[in-house]
Amino acid sequence: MKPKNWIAALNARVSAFKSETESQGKTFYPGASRIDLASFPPKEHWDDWIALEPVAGTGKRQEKHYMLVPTTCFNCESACGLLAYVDRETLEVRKFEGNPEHAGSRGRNCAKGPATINQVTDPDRILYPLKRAGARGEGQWTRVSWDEVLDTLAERIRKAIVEKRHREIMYHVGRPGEDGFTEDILKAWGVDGHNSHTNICSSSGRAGIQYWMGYDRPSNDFANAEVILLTSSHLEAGHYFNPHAQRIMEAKKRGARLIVVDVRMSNTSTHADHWVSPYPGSEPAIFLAVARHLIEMKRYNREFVRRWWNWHEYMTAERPDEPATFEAFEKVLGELYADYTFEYAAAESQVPVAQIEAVAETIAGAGTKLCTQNWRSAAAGNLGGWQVSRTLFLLNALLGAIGVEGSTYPNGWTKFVGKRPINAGHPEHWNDLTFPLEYPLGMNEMSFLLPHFLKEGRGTLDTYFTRVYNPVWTNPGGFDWVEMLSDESKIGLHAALTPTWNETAYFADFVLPMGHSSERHDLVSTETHNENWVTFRQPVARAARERLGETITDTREVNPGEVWEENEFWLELTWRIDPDGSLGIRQHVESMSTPGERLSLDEYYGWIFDHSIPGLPDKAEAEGVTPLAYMRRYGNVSIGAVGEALYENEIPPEQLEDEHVDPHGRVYTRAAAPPQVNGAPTPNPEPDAEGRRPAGVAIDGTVRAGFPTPSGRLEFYSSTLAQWGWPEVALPTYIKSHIHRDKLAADQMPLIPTFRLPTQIHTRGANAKWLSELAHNNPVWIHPQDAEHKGIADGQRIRVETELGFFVAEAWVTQGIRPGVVACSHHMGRWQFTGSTDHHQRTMETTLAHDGGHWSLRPVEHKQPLAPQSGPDAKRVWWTAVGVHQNLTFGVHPDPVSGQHCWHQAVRVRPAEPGDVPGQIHVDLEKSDAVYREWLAMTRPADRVSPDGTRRPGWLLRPLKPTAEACKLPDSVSS
Amino acid sequence: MSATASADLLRLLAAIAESPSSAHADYARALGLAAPATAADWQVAHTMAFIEQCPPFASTMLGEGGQIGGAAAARVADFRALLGAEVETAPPDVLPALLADYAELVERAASDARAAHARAAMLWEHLLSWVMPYLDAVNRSAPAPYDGWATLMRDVLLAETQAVAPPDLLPLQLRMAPPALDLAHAESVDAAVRALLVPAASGIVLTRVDLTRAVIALEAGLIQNSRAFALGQLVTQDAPATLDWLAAEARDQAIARMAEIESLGVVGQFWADRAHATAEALDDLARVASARRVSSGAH
Repeated sequence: MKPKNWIAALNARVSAFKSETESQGKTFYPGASRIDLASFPPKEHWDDWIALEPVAGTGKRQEKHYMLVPTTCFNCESACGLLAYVDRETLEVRKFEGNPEHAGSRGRNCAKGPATINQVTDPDRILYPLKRAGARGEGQWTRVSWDEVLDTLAERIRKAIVEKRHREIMYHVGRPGEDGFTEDILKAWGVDGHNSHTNICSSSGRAGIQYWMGYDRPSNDFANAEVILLTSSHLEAGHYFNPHAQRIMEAKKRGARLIVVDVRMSNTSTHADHWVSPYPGSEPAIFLAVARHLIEMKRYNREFVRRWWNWHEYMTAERPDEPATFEAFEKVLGELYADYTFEYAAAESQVPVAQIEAVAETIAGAGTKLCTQNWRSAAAGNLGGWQVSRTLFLLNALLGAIGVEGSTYPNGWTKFVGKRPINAGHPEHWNDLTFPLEYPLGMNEMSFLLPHFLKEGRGTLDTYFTRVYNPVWTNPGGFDWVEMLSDESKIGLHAALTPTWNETAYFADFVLPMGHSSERHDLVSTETHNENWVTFRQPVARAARERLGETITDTREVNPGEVWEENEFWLELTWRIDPDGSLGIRQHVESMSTPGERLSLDEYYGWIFDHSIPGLPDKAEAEGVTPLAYMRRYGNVSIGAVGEALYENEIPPEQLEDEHVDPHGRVYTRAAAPPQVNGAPTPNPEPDAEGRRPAGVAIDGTVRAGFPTPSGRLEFYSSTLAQWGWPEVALPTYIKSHIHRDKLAADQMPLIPTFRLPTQIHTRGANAKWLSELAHNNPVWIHPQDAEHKGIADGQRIRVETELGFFVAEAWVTQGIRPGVVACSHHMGRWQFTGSTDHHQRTMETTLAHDGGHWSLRPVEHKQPLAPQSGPDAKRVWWTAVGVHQNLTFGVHPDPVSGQHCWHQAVRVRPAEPGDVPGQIHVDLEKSDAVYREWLAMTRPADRVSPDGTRRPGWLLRPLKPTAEACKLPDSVSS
Repeated sequence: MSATASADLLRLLAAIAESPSSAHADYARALGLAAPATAADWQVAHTMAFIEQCPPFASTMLGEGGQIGGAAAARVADFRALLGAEVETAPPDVLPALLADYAELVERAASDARAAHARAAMLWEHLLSWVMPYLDAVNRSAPAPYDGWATLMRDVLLAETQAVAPPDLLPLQLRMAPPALDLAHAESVDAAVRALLVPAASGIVLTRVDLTRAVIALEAGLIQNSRAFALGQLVTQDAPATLDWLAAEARDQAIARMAEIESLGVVGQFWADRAHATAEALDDLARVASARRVSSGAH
C-alpha cells in the first residue's frame, strides 16, 4: 500500500531533480518530441551523444560516442541544417542528420543532405592540388603544392591588374552557397569579374518579379496560405525542396488548396488539387485569363491596387488623352485584358476551359492569402519567359497578396545578410564580356555566351576561375565550351575550384580541391518562410577539435588530403597578389586585431557575429559563450519573424529633409538614409535630378516606405522597360515562346529539358552513391499517343534531333507528360573521355572526337558505364544506365530582354538508327554559331536605346556595381 | 482533497516514454523506477514496451480498426490544435505529447479558468477515455522500467480523478467508438479475431505477451507474425481451448475495469461493460466450438 502522501513526496523529489538538472545547465524537460517517438538529440548532449550501432556479424549492438557538430548542406541553395556525427575516437564524420536548431529546415532534410557522407568518402574525390601535365584537356596531371598554385595565380593576377587588364580576370560561379564573401574579394581586387550561372537558371524568374517590386525573387509564406499556386515544380523539386515542401504540406493539412501548373506530372503535381498541364510557354495566357476574371468580376483588391500600383504614372505616360484618375485606369485595365478570355487561354494552352475557370475561382477566393512561386522551368524555358513570373505576380498584385500573412513576400525581407569586415569600393571597370551592350536589361551576367564572345574576338581571359561550376556540362552548347577552354590563346589559365571531378575540370590548368559542406566555412541565409535566419557552414572536424581544446588556424589541417576551403584560399591569394600593399588590395584582408597579419576566418566571422546579426550576441551571452562559439555550436540563429506589409511603414519627418515629391508621388529627400541592418540584395532606385535620394512614396497624404522601384510603387507599368527599348512589353503580357506551335514545323515538338529530380544535385550527384542509386537515368518522357504515332515502344532507343545535332536516349512512354510534348530531366549523362588517367564512378566512359566543327561523344560500348570498382559497394551497383548529356546539343537562346537562356527546344523524335547507343551525341558547331547570331539579332543594344547614356538601368540589381563613370556607354559607341 | 501530480511530475512521466536518451537514467532515478543498466538495455526496453507490445496512441485504443490514425486521432489533433500545440508533423495522439499538453494545462489551471476547463476536457476526453486498459496492458507486457512506469502513471491519473470529477456524459471519443463486438455473427474466424483486437469494441487489450501466455497455457505452437495471424492460428489449432482462454482473459480484464468504475464513472463502466460482453460472447463461442468438436468426434 502506498504511503498517504506519496504523490506529494514524489512531486518534491521531481522538483529537487529539476533544480539539480537546471543547476547543471541542462534542460529538465526538452518538450514532447515532434516526430512520433523519435526525438533529436537534446543539444546539451551534443558533446557526447551515445548511439547504438550494430557490431558487424554478431547480431549485437554497442554504444558509440559522438560529438554532434552542426554545419549547412551545400547540395542546393536552400542551406538546410545538417548535424555531423563525429566519432569521438577517430574524429571522423560517420553520418549526417538534420539540425533541429535550424530555423529553415527544422531538423528535416531531403535525400541530398545525408548523402553528403557519400561525397566526403567518395573514393574518387580530388584530395590534392593538380596541375595539368600534357596539353589542355589531355587528362594528364601532376600533384603540386598549394604554394605553387597560389604564387602562380597571384603573379598572373597582379600583373593583369598592374597592366590595367582587369577585365581578363574572371570568377565563374555555379553554386554560390554563401552571401557576399567572394564578391567582397573581387571588389578588393578592383575587378568586375563576377560571372554567375544565373542566366541559365533563374534570370527570367527574377526579372518578372523585379520589374514589379524591385526585389528580384519571391519568398513564400506557404504555411499560412489559403491558395498556393506553383508554376511548374522546379523550386519544390529542386532548390528549397525541403523547407518549402514541409510548409506546403502544413498548409495542405490545414485545408489550403494547391494548384500546380506544370507540363509534366511532377512529385508536386501529384499533391495538387488542380494539376494544370499546359502547352509549354502558354502559362502567361492562363494567368492573364485569371487576371481578367478577377478584374471583370471585380474580385480584385481595389483599394490595394489604388494605393500601391503605379497606375498614375502609366496613365500619364501612355494614356495622356484620358484623365489620370483611378476610375479611368480601372476602365483601361478592363480593356487591356479583355481579350484574355478563358476560351483564348484554353486555345493557347490546350487546357480545358472548365479547368482554367475552376482555377480562377479558387484563386479569386484566396483573398490576400495567395502564395505564388515560379523559379526556373516555365520562366527559364521560353522566349519571353520573364513574363511568366510577371503575369503570375500580377495575380498577387491584384489581390493585395504581397508581404502579408499567407502571401508572397519580397526575398529582401526574409533573407538576412549582415555587414562584413571586408568592404572595398566598387570596381572602376565595366566588364562587357559579362554585361555586353546588347543586353542592357540582362538580369545577370551573360555567362553562357562567353565562348561566342571570345570566338568573335571581343576579348581574352588571363585568369579564369570556375568555382563549383561545370559549364561544359551545364551550359547549352558544351562543345563550344570545350573548344574555348582548350584554346590557350583565349584563356591563359583556367583554375577549377571544385570538390568533385567534372567535365570542365578536365580542361583546367589547375584542379583545386575544395571542401564539401562539412569541410568549409560559409555564411548563408535564404528566404524559406516568414522568418529571418542565418546559418553557418563550417568544417566540422575543425569545430570538433576546437571543442576538445585544440587550436586550428587552417582548415587544411583537418580536411582530408590537402582539401582546402575557398574562403581561406581567397584570403591567402589576395594577400599574395599584393605582398607589399602597394596595390591597395592587401589592406582589405589584413587582420583588424593584429596588423601585419592576414585576416583569419575566426576573426572574420567573429566580427560579423559580434556586430551584424541582431540578437546573436545576447543569445550567446545567455549561454556564456562568444557569438562565434554559439554559431559553431548550434550552426544557426533566428533573427525572428518579419513584420507584415513593410511597404506601409511611415517615413518619419526627420528622414524627409528638403523633401521633393514628383508628380506620381515618389518622395525624395536630402536626409541621410537610415542605417540598414539587413544587407540582403535590394535595388537602389536612382536619385532625382537634384541628387536627392528616394525615401518613399506619398499615398493619401502620408509618406510610406513603398517598394525599391523607380516609382516606389508596384510597377504594373515598367518605365524601365518602356524607356530602354521595350515599350510593347512594359505591362504584364503574353509573349509567344520560341517553341509556340505557330513556330514549329509539322514534325517538330517541344522538348522540356529543365526539370529536376528532388534527389539529385546539379553536377555533383554522380559522386553521391546513394543518390545515384535513387536516380541515375534520364529517359525521354513521351505520351502514349505520340509514341504510337512515331512507332516508339517503351524503353526503345530514340534519336532526338535538335538545332545543332542529335542525342540518343531511351523512351519512357508515360501519361505523365501531355501529348505533343517530350521531356528529359536534368542531372544525368555524366561523362569522362577515354584517355583519362582517372576512372570515376557513375560516369560513362566515352570517346570525344571532332572533325572540324563536327563534334561527337560516344560511350565506349564494351565498358559498362558503372563498371564495378573495388570495395564492397562494387557488388551493390545494380544499375547500368547513366543517361544522356542532352545540353551538348542545345544552341544558345538568350532572351533579348532578361538575357536568360531559353531552354526549351524544338525537336524531332524518331527511333534510333542501327548502331546508335544511349548517351551518344553529335553536334555541328557551325549551326551553334548560326543560332547564336539568330538570337543576338533580336536584341536592342544599349547604344541604341539607352535613355541616359549609361550601359544599364542603374537601379537594377547587379552583384558588383561599377562606379558611375564605368557605367557610362563607352565613347566609341555613345558619340 | 488528496494531492495530485505536479506539472513537472507529469512531464517526467512523459519524457521517460520518449525515445531513450542519456538523461533517461536520471528520469528513472527521480521517479523511483528501476533503470536498465546500459543505453542498449534502455533501447531494448523502450522498443519492447512501445513498439512491440503497446503502441502509445489513443487511436489504437479508441479507433474503429484499432490502428494508428483515423477519426480518433483527428479528434485529438483538433483538440490539441485548439490548445495551440503543433500537431502537423507527427501522429497527434501519441501519449507523451498528450501528457506534455496535460502538464501544461495543470500548470496553468490554477490561475486560468479556461485552462482548468481544458484540463478537464483533456483528462477525460483524451487520456482517461483510454489509458487505463492501455496502462494495464503495458504493466502486463513491458519490461522494467516501463511496467513500473505504467503502474505509476495509473496511480497518478487516478489521483487526478479526485481533483477533476468524472463527466456525467460519456466522452465523445467513447460515444464515437465502434459498436460492441458481435462475435456470434462474425463472417469468419479472421473477422472475429480482427474484431477482438479492436480495444474500443472488445473492451480488452491483447498484446503479443498476452498471446505468448495463451500459447504457453494452451501448449500450442507459437507463430511469430502479426497478432491477428497468431491468434487466428491458435483458434485454428484448438478453437475451444483458445476461446476458453480468451474468455477468461476478457473476464480478468473486465474485473480490472470494474474496479476502476468508482474513480472513472461512466468511462470505467464503458470499458467494463465491453470487456464483460466480450467475455460472455467468447464463452458462448467456446461452448459452440466444444459441442462441434464432440459431435464431430474430434479431440
